This record gives sequence, structure tokens and C-alpha cells, in this order.
Amino acid sequence: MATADLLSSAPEAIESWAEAVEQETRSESIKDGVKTVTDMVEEDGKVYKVVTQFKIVTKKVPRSVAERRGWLKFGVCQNDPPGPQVSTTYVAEEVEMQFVRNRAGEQILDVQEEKQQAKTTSREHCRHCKANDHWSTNCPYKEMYQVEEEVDLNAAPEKPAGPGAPGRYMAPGMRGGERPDQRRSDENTCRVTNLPQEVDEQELRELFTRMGRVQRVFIARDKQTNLPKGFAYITYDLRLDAEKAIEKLNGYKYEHMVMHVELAKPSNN
Amino acid sequence: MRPLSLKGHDRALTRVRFNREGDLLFSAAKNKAPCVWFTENGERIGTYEGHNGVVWDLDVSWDTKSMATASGDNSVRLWDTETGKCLNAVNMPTPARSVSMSCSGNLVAYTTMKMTKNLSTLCVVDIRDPEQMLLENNMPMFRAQLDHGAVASLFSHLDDKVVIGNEAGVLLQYDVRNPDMPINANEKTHKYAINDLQLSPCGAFIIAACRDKTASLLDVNSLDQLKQYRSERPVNSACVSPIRDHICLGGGEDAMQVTQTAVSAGHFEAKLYHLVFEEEFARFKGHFGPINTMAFHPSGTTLATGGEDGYVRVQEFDDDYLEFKYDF
Repeated sequence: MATADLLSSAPEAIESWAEAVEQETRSESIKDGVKTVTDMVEEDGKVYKVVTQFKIVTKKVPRSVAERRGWLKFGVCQNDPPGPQVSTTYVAEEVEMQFVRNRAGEQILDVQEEKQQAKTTSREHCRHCKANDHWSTNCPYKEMYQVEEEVDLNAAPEKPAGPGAPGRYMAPGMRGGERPDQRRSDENTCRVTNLPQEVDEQELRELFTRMGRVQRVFIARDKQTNLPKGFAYITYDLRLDAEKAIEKLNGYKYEHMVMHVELAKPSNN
Repeated sequence: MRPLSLKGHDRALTRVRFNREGDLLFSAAKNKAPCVWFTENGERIGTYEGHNGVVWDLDVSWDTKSMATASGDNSVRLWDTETGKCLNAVNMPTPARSVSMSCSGNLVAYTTMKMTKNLSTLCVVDIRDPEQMLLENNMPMFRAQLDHGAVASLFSHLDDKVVIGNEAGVLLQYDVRNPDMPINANEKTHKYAINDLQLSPCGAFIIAACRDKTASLLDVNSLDQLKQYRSERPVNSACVSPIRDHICLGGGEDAMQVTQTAVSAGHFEAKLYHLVFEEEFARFKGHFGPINTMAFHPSGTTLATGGEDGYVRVQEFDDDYLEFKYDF
């Protein structure tokens, strides 16, 4: 009686009235501890056969509980037939218990609130040394980096010394000289893949500097976690050095990974 | 687990309670008729017709013969649980907010709300005395006037001590023989309204659920705070497991703000905490509104919850909970 499973409800056509009268009756049968109740339910002009199977469970209960089993229904349920009613009682969907902690009492599930907070407040990240434990204004190496930036700034005004009056706007293509980003990319760059996660920019630079002057080392990082994605671009001053690097360092064992070095494919834009 | 979902009320639940053996489940809601159900299969046996307003609280006697209800229609009623007949109704000047039956089932304690010049009161009546059970002008054996509205009341010891929790977060313990002065008070633990008070099955602790997002475990004799359980949202109800050192908290975003929050942000889950370590270790979903009331089945393997959404859910725990053990 504890569980009631609706097994099937298949529509069945009724041929004659005599048959219909016969089938309206409720039939019950008990076999091997399973009670099967067959009901004919009429709905929308069609007659459905509803077979309900009950598992009969015998339990020992206190006398008072057994007596209460026989209570008559009252109030609004006075006229309800025995058994749970579909209108008031149903078995809900499966619910999983989520364990927030494991047996040792350690937190294993992020509580939602904390996640949301992490999303709203931006992560600390240093523009200078790329560390995640402080902002760039608090960077201990700030002065060192600021000197470099100032040098760049000093060098900058000398650059637009191309044709045309100074102070006038000039399209980038007409400024003469190569555009820095164009020079940087494409033919002098090798793409290094299969790098370990804990790759260090300094180490990588040292390794590739052996083949020639390295202009730029770029390690691709994940936007969210700021962890290296496992590949990097190394730009040399000369294409010859890049080719040399591919020759020497392709298949080089870097920590526990085998590095793969190839020429970078020219980007589309 | 596959909970039973019971839809006998069309408004928010205010109280679910098991009887002593746990074969019956009683539920009260903001509609007029409390219901009684078979716990095992969720079959509704009957409804108690007679109240004319929200039913704030109900309690069942130890032998499941009688049940007391406190209603917003300014009355406390006593019912015959088997037939659904109202045995007595006691009218009051203001709505009744909570009710508790004593250990013997002879005394009923109830609190009334504060309204205009009528102060909030805590009363105790003896249901055997017809004088005290008159409809009008009743003379309870105990009446104490309270400064703040008492939201929860509980017979904490046999037939002689009653604990109330009020809207200001103060817990007071009265001796039934002395209505003038509370014998114990705890003003420190909670700052906001206490929504629910329940006795632990061993009778040694009281667990108080508070709107200040915490629940606390209190010593039954001194009302001293022993443990505190922190939640992310106001706690509406809390109960202690009869078989393990676990407690369960239910609550969620305030009913008034529910429409403004997503279900995921409302924290409508029931949360299981370790009684001693005060740590949440598991939670389960189910309701799509805050949980207003919950009760552990005496066997400790089933938990009934009633929500603002109008559903009662009877969860029978699976082995993953029953076999969960802390290593220490």
C-alpha cells in the first residue's frame, strides 16, 4: 500500500453497450503480494483502461497506529474513495541531496552566494608584473616598469617624422616606416604549443633568446582564470632566427611536456 | 529521494507537525482548514472545518486524540482529531499567533498578538476545566502580558514551563504557576523576530529559528545559547534530528521579496547542519518559495516541510544521507 505506480493507460475502443456496462466495474486481483486494480475511466468521450498496481506491505505497528489506519475520512475528503487522491497527493520529481561538505568536513561545494560575489567584484590583477595578488598601483616593481614606460614615451614623439606638417593628422598607412604590429607578427613569429601550465615568461624568453634576439614573447592566458592556455608566440627580429628556433626547439623537452614549435600562420586581420 | 508533494492548501503553509508515532502528519496554512494526512502514502484523511481565518499554528496531544489550533479569526480551537469535530472554541480580543500542548495534553498555551490597546499575551488553559474553555470571557489559569508580540510558544518542560520567542528576538521562559515574572530570559542571542521554537526530541535543547539569518540551540533550563547556525537568508523553521547529531534549517528570502528574486538566489533549500560543528554539510531543493515550517519524523528518516508556495513535501532520506558520517 506504500507505493502506487501508474503502469499503463492505453485507450481501448468499446464495441457494444453491453460490453461497456460490463467493463465499467472495477476489477481487483491479488497475486504474489501485488494487488492489481483495473479501472475504466471515461474522459473526453473516450474510455481508458487504467491499471494500477499496488505492492502489499505487511508492517508491525503500535495498536494505536493500526486503529488510526481505520479512520473514516471527514471534512472535504468525506466522500473520497480510499487511497491517495490524485488531486492532493503526488510523487514529486527526484530530488538529489547536495553535499556541501565531505566526510572530513571540508567544503566540496561552492555555496552560490560566494560565486556571485566573485563575479561582481573584478579580480585583482597587476598590469606590470601580471600577478594576481595586487593591483598595478600597488605593484612592488612599479618603479622599474614605470621607467620603461617613460622611455617609450620619450621615444614616441620622434617617430612621426614622416612627410607632412607636424601636428596634422595622417593616416597610419601614410606615416612611413613599418607599423609596429605588422612588423611584429607574421613571418618572424613562431607559435609554440604544448607548453606546461606553469610556464614562466622569463624562462621562455631565455630559452628562445639562445637562437637570436627576441622581440616579444606572448603567452596566451585564459581571460577568466589568467592561467596560461598552453601556447605562446615568440617574435624574433629576424626571420632567420625564427627558422633556427623551429629547427632546434621543435620537440624540445620543456619540463614534463614536449614543445611543438612552428611558424605562426599569418593572422587574417 | 522522491518526495511526496501534498497539495491540500491553496495558501502558504504555517505549520507542519507529526504526531508522536509519526503515522499522521498535520498541516496548517493561511487558508481556513488544517489537514491531516497519512505520512506513509500521503493520503488526506480529513480537514478541520470551522476557523474563519488564517490558522497560524497547531499542536497535537501525545495520544493524537486532540489537536489545538491558533487562528487569525481571534480564536483558539480544540479538535477531535479522529472525527474533525470542533470540541471547544475560545475567543480572544486579538488574533492568536501560536499554540503549544503540554506533555500530558491537558494544558494548552497560546499567545495572542498586540493590537491597538490590547497587549500581546501568553495564556495557558486547562482543557479539562469547562470554565476555562468557554467561548467568551474565558478565565485562563495563566495570563502574562508581554511587551512585544510573541510569535512562537513552546512547552519546554512537562506541564510547567513555557518558552516564548517574540518579535524583538527575546526568549522568555515562564513557570505556569507564576505569570508575573519570567523565570529565565535570553535577550542576547537574537536581534530580530523569532519565527519558530522547537524542542529537541531528547528534551534537553530548544532550537530557535530567527529572522536574523541564524538559528540557535539553547539549553532548555537556562535558555543559554549553546550553538549558533548561520544561514544566508532568514530562517523560518529549524528542527533537530531524533537519531543523529544533525539539525535542519528552512527559510529563504522574505515572502514579500520573493517575487523580486530568482529561485536560485532565494535560497529555498532545506539545509542540514551538524549539531556540534555548526557547519552546513548538505542541502536539498524542492520548494519554489521560502520554507515556512518543517518537522522531523520521529524515525529520523523522513522530513516534512511546508512552504510559502502552498505545498507540503514529505522527504524520505536516501542512503546517501543516512550513511553520511563525519570523520573525527
